[in-house]
This record gives sequence, structure tokens and C-alpha cells, in this order.
Amino acid sequence: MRRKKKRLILRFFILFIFLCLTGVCIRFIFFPDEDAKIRKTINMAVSEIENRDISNFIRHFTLDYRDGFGNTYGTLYIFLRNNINMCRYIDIDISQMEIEREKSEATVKFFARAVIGISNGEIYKEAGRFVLKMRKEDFKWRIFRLDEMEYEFD
Amino acid sequence: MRVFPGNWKIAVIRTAAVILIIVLIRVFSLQWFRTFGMSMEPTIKDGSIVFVNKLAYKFRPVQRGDIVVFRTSDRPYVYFVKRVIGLPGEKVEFRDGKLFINGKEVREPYIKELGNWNVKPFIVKDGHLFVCGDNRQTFWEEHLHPQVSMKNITGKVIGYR
Repeated sequence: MRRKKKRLILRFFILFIFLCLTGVCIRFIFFPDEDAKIRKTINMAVSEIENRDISNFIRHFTLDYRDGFGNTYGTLYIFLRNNINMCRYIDIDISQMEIEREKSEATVKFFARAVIGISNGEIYKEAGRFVLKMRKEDFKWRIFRLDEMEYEFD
Repeated sequence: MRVFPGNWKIAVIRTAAVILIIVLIRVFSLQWFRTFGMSMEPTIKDGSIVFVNKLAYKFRPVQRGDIVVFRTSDRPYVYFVKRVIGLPGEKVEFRDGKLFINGKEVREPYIKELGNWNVKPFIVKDGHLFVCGDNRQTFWEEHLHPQVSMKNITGKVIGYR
């Protein structure tokens, strides 16, 4: 009798753990929070530019996009279209991503390193800290501002 | 030598102790970084691994010529490797690529080719170090030449490969 009871409790306990894990998986896979969506958008944009898929890459930007290098949505698209075929490979690594979100706007700070191999054999390496401003449009997070952060050592 | 002694408890304790020692060394004493960029060439090549002694400046002051790793004061943190050129309160100047400290020329044996930097004299702030890369072939404006607060110094480079 006692053994039966023990087994029943164990079964309930295992079922409880299984349901908890399933719940957590459903929560994160099917209903990711906004921060996870932002991270996913940025990672997708990185992988698209690495694959030289400009048409999908540019969809992550709003039409009023501006950056600290003087680009707009249009000039960014034209620059990429004219130069992307010169690249043999693009390797971008993003780390230390920090997201500050307020309703439908978010500020994302991160450190990025890029290695770009050009068709003439040259290799360009750049690294820097950047601030992205993102806004939710049509249920999707899009980039409307990009600036490079100054280094401070004080 | 037996790696795993018969008594499993002792084996677990030994393994835990080794892991703890490695973690303590990593956190408090030794750290390593992979470099990205050519500002320290020819001394440290792009993609090298540098080993940093984080305790080095707890027991002795920073000296000119030391290679140090320092980081930005705000997040996201970025770590840099440079050579200490100017100490607090010193007057630093470059004339035709030659370094002058307090008006006297300083030999830099680690520089293979002098650049043509001409930089007006400036004073290194108190509690700060003036650092510079060994690669002087580029324009002065293209490089970062920060005065780094002592609190942002991670440690001294003790080796690289």
C-alpha cells in the first residue's frame, strides 16, 4: 500500500516537472518577450548581411532611417547594392548587447567586430561600439537610428 | 601516478579544488585576450593572444614602456592593448616621429619604423597614463591616443603569442 502511494507521488512529481518544462518551452518559443524579439531581429539582420541578402536586410530599417555616418534609408540601400558584390565574405560578430526598452521604442548598445574580404584580396577589419534605436512598426522591431559610441577612458 | 584515486570522494574534492584554483587565477590574477587590429604591430601581431597579469600594479607602479591592457569606462566594455608612453604629470611631445618626454628625447627600441608624427606638447593628467600603439606608420589622427585613468587599467601584458 505504502509502496503504491510512493509510486503515485513520484509519478505526479514527474508529471509536474514535465508540465513545467513544457510551459517554459511554450512561453519562450511561441511567446518570446520583446527583448528576445529585438535580439532576434538584430541577429537576423547580421546573418542576412553576411549572406549578402540586401533585400531582406533593408526590411529591418524604417523609411526615415538615419545614421551617424550620414546615411538615409535610400543611401544605405544604394551603397549596399553597389558594393556588396565586391565582398568575398562578410563576418560580423556582435557581443555585449544591452537593451533598454520603453513601450514601442528601444535603445540597443553593443560591441561589433567586422571582417570583410574584398574580391581584390584585401581584408578590412573594423570594430566599434554602436547604439541602435529601434521602433515597433507593424508588429516588427525596425531600426531607425544607428550611431557609433565614443570611447571613454576617464 | 593514479589520476583517479580509489576513493571517489577524494577525486571529487581534488577536481573541485583544481577548478576553484583555475577560476580564482582567472578572476584575480591572469586573464587572456585575443587581439583585433594592427596598432601594436610589429610587437603584437593581429590575432595574437595576450596574457595579462592583473596583480602586477598592486605591488609596483606602472613604468614607461610597459604594455598594458585597459578598458573603456562605460559599457559595453572594450579592451585595448597599448604601450605606456607618458606617466602622470609628464609633458609628452612628438617631433618627426621621435618621442620627447619633458623636453628630452626618449629612445623607443620597440619601434621598427618611425612615423612622421608631429604633436604639440601636452601634459598627462594626474592619475592617468598616456598610451600609444607601436605601429607608428599610420596618421596620428587615425589612432586612439587616450589618456587612460589608472582605474581602467586591467593589468600588465606578461606574454603574447
